[in-house]
Amino acid sequence: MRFPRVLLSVFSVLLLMAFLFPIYWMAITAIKPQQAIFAFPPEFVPRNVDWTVFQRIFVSNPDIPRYFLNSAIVGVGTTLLTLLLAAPAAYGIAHLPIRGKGLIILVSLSSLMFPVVMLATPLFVIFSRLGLTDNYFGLILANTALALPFSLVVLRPFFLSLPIQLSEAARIDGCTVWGAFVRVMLPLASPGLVTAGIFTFLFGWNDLVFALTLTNTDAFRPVTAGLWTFIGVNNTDWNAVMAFSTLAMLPPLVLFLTAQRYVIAGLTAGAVKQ
Amino acid sequence: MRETPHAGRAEVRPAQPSQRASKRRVTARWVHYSFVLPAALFLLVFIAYPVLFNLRMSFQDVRAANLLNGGAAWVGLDNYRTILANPVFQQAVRNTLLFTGGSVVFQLSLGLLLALFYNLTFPGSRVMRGLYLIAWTIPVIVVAAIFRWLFDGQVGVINYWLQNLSLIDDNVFWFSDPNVALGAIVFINIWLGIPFNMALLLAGLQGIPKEFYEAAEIDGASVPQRFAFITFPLLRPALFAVLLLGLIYTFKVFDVVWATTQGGPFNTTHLVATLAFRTIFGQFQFGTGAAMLNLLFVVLFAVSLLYLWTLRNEEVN
Amino acid sequence: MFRLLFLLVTLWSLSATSAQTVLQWWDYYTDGANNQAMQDLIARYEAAHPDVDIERTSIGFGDLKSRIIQAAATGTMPDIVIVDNPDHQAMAAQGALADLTDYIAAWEANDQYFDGPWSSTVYNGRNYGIPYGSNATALYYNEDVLTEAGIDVPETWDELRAAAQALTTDTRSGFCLSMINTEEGTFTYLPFLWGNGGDIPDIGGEANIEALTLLNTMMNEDDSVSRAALNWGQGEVNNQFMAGQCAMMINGPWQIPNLEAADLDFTWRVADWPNNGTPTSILGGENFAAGAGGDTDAAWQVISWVTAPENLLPTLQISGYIANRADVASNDVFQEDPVIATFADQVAVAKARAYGENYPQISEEIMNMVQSVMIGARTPEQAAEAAAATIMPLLP
Repeated sequence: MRFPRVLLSVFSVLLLMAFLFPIYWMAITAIKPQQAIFAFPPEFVPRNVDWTVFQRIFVSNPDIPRYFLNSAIVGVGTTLLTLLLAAPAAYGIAHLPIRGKGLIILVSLSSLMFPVVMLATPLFVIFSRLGLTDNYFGLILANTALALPFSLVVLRPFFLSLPIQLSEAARIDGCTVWGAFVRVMLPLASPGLVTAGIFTFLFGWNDLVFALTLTNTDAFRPVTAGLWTFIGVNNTDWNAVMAFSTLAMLPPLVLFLTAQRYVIAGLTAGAVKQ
Repeated sequence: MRETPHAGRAEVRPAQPSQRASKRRVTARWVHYSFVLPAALFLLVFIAYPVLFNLRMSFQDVRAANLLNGGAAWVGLDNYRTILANPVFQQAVRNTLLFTGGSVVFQLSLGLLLALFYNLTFPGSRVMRGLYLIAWTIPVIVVAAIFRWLFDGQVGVINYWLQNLSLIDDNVFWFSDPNVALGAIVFINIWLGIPFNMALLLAGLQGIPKEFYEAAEIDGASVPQRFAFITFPLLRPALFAVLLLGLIYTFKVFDVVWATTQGGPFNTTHLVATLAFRTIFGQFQFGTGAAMLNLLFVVLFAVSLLYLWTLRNEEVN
Repeated sequence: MFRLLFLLVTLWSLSATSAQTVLQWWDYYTDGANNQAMQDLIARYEAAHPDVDIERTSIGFGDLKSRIIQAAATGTMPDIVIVDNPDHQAMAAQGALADLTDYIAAWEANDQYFDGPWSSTVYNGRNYGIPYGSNATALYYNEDVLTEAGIDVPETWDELRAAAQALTTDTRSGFCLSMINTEEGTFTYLPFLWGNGGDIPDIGGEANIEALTLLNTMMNEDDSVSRAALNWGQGEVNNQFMAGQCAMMINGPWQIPNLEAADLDFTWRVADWPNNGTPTSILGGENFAAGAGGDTDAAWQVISWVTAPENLLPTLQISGYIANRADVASNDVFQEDPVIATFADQVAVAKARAYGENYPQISEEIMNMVQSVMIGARTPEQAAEAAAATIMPLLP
């Protein structure tokens, strides 16, 4: 490119601002007084700010830190279990001589073919018989059931792009198949793993349906379920809903910004292999 | 192609004794399957029951009164005949096709353009491209509420801008006008889909070694040629994965529509998934609702088969 | 020696288990005055009955129906559940609620309740619950704007239409109401039908056609009702009103806390529903019920206690609900405040949505009918005829 890179940065900032405008709107709606939400002309910068909404949230939900903890546990748990199952499977489908690859992919995709809310009722029936309701494990299993096929399909291209000669070479050097996978292929696929991991975490963090169906008590409620406190029969406390969402957005945001570093690490590792 | 220093050495080694070779091969087969079996078993256990549950319900006349007793009569294909004859369902099918087609085309193209852009190096690119994922940290009901206000006919920001830019004369009632309501929902869905498309395609692009592009540039290839002969073929597995997942997710989308219009006004924005939800949880007609879902399932199953067929070409690795 | 020990242990374990009855209680009051009212009510009950422990779970309204289906399917219904009155009969039909007819037949207060709320608890001649509290909708108006335009508060349909027209400006709609295709929309539309002397069983008749025509004229000819109303819930209608975008609105008492907290720069008041001959409003509010398969005896103890006048009145005062039994409704507290008094008067003439177990489907068909007219897909006559064809088979 001939022209200065900074112009690209400026363009990028403009794109980002356009794309994230709804998020900005959410954040300012949280602190606008109720009658200003529908003011016309629209208030792009709130004229009056009402910070009491945060107090309302914490008073109505004294367990909020617990909610965040629950969401984090479910998010991390789902990510670990999913990657644990999906990474070897994606590698197997990409490189190993296995029969029935198509069948495996089909079976795994089946779980994605129903709206989540339809899966929730039958899963609730099984889980309540197995005693898996109202605990982290049930939520993690349910979320993994949906995140797994996604990760499988996403990771397969990453493993495909790694030359099979590398694992063969490791095998010849005395590694077992698993050893070659863990020591050679897995590190090289880390951009894919990080990407799949981030999305899987988001599925777990963001899940509302399983959270509502499979948990009864506040002790296990994730952040998303706390939103429902403010959505009523005839009336919804939109300030609180928006404020709650703004707060709920922060931990994943921190996660992305830190995860960027690992994506870079993956890239440099890829360069070294040359 | 890349250099693999070990390959040369392998050719020099003497052949292994045949006993040990066959033993290794046998153990290896079992070991190969151990990679995929945990995932497959996990899914079979947790997904088989819900899928079969829905399948069975679609052939019975299950209503609120007999959901518990189990006394539901077996009605064979009656539920399917009922829904296929229902004009609201037919419209929902049309809407679903339009919605899915519109969403996926734009999500994929915009996602690809953004991925190509953020594949360039410039200050702040790495941080900024991660920020698009914020769209996925907000629950869909909240996103829907925000867009409902932005699209509000009276006081919405979008009408305000369109009027100020003189692009429209009168306010457009985005969610009250059947002609534009579906379009507005597609817009929201595109917004929701861009981060996912962009992130995956970007990761795929970054897996393509720079040397290929350098070599091509030296050979005198133009930018479009580089895209067609290097980027596109190497990006194909990621592209098809994104396309497949996009189709599957969008086809069954429910919460975006439900949280904005609930299928209205006057059933003009119902998708198959929202209609099924309303049938089951609003009217307690479990059998017909399950039948709708199974039709959805069949279509998506067919799409997945198509995806598997495209995978055949990639097996040549 | 061992036998004594054994006896002691047995006696101790028996007394330990009989010390506490634990009851599960579900409602959807997650926030606000109703939430407080329930917490207070349960605390008072437990104080008066130390051997009972009530575990309350508050489930989001959007989620309650699916949770009840799941609970009914797995036999895990709570002992006590509070249900929205229009859903009561459908849930009884699903077999999710316990039959309380015998308890009620022996109950001395079984003749105190107003017909409207009571009718929602009866299904197939059997009782499945007791009403808790009621509310109704009414006409809110911006007094400053009406005075400025020299317009009186409308009481008839003609006056409503004229007032709405006169009060509509470039930045303000004369009349705002919720016409979204959910229960909130039906909730808002039905008093128009009833106020014209009509009812759902004759939905194909003139009364309904005239009601549809009124709204259609106001939206599509006079432009005094915004088309965006087809996508507004009652909360959005209120937000519009508070922002000064509406001169009048239909809403319920649940907006009062919002209106008072908002520190508005205009005076708002409440008046009776404008009608075309029949004073009317629509009943909101919930009923107590016992879950099928739960501890019905203990649940009845709770339900009959919480609905006794001396226990119910404080709860209603906290939640802002209106009493629906004669011995409590006669209390002055419901007439002291002019706003509450208006709602109490509306409750007295309000009808319940007691149309049998298929009411959810009927409600959906009604909003289809209304919206089809508003978007110009059908004329009021066509819409009424189509609605009659689909709704008549659904009535009991």
